[in-house]
Amino acid sequence: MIQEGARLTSSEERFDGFVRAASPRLLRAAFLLVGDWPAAEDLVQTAFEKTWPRWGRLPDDKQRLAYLHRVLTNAFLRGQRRKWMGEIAVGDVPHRAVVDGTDALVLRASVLAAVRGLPPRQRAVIALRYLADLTEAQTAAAMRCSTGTVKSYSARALAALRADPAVADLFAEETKP
Amino acid sequence: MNDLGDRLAQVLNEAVPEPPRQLDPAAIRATPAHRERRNRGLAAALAAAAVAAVAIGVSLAGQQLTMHQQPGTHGPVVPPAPGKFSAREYRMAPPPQFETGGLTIPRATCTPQQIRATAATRRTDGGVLGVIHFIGAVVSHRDGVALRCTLPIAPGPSALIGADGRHLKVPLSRGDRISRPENPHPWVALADGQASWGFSWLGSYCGPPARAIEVPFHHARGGSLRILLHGPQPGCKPAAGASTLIDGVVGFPGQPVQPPRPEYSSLRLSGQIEPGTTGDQLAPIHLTLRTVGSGPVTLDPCPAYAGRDGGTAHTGGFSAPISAGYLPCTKHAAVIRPGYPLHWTIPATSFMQSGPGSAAIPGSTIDVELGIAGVPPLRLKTTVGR
Repeated sequence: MIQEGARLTSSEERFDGFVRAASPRLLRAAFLLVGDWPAAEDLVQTAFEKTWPRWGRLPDDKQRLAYLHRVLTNAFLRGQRRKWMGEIAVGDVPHRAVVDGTDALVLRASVLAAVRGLPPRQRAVIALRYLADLTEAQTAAAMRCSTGTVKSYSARALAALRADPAVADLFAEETKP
Repeated sequence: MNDLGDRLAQVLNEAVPEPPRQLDPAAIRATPAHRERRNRGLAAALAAAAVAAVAIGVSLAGQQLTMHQQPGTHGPVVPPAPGKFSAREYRMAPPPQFETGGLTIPRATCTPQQIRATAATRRTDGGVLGVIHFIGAVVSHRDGVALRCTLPIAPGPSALIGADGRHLKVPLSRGDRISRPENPHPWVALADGQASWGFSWLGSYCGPPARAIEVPFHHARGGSLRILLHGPQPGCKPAAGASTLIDGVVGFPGQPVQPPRPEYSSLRLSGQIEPGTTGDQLAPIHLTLRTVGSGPVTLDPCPAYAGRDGGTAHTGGFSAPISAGYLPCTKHAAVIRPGYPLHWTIPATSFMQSGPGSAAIPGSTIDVELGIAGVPPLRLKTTVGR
């Protein structure tokens, strides 16, 4: 916390504005990756913390954002390697869809559960492409891989979602006229 | 993006909620700066060896103190005191529904494969509140209405499950059976195949994380349902007392699912009905909720907490219920502080006519009772205009 009476430098002010502007979308992408708000906040905060020391060397917001995405993706994937965070099937609760367009909660839970069931790299592509709204090239830069690899992960992820009866049914229902 | 990609983007944007709070940029900037300062301090300490040990020790102690004073990023959410009711913050009451006494159309009992369930928690004072949503499969149609199978679950939840599939050592308490929210027919929700179930997990918990929550399943095959648990869990804070799982209340999605907190007893509901009630509709009701206690009271958001309203028309010696609904409840936790009451207005409500004698005819008296779980009910009276 800033001490009372302390004055911010222009660089600090710009960084603070950048955090406020960029964090909501990043937090939502992180939430999709890790599944709960405390972990998502940890992830995004870590990304910002690592970006701040390099702030002066990143010439504009575009590059700062790209750097931030890269740090966030790395932090997420490193965390996945270090610690198994996958969910276990602990019950006899099927993942079969019951189509009910009025129940937004079920829709939400099904889609989030399906995305969280993807392998980490595929999940990262889905979060960056479809929630953070990055292009394939930006996603590739964030993940330090080629656009071809991003396309491959994306195709596999979409195929997995299509094959998931809960999500496939819900999507089919949503696209009906 | 292709069609599925577009659809996925749309669904994800709808599915992922807005962040509950903003990050603190100053705390972010402070963290690496402190790390660097600490590293520099340690390097200096190594270089200067024992000669400057005392001076460096003081410096390090000062820096560590400063670090401890950094605001925690994951402390309990303490929303600011709402000075004034905002329509954006509070969900409006759903349309009143006439109570039928809980009659339901008979339908098949769900098999385990026909039930989908989600369980999620969020932080509250002293632990977490949780809601389990159940939905049964559609098994038939009647008059164009889809009928879901009946959920054979009661009572519950019964246990928390660890990653190894074993019960965690968290004792179950059956909650407060006396001052429950006014869910008059909770079994209707189960019978209709759509139910929410509340639970609380309070106190200090130092064991392995819970991965699922168990609900007894009353079926020929017996057993229980284990539902993956998402969201925060109580931390290891021995001062917070022993960890306890407390079962909540069954209701339709959107109905209250938690017993009221004891501190709700310091809340007082007051209000008045605007003039202008007609045979078709009850005039708007202005309500105020204040605390008579010395400390703030936190209202849990829906569906943990809710209130009900009901009206009765009296005419010619006959009485009949005319409407029932739910009072607005908070979408986010809200704090009522002494001297800062909440004000809100229930808009004009159309009467539901259930048959001869139930209409609010001109000149009749209408009693309205408004109740919030754990708060003394408010009774108001008005006369139907001629």
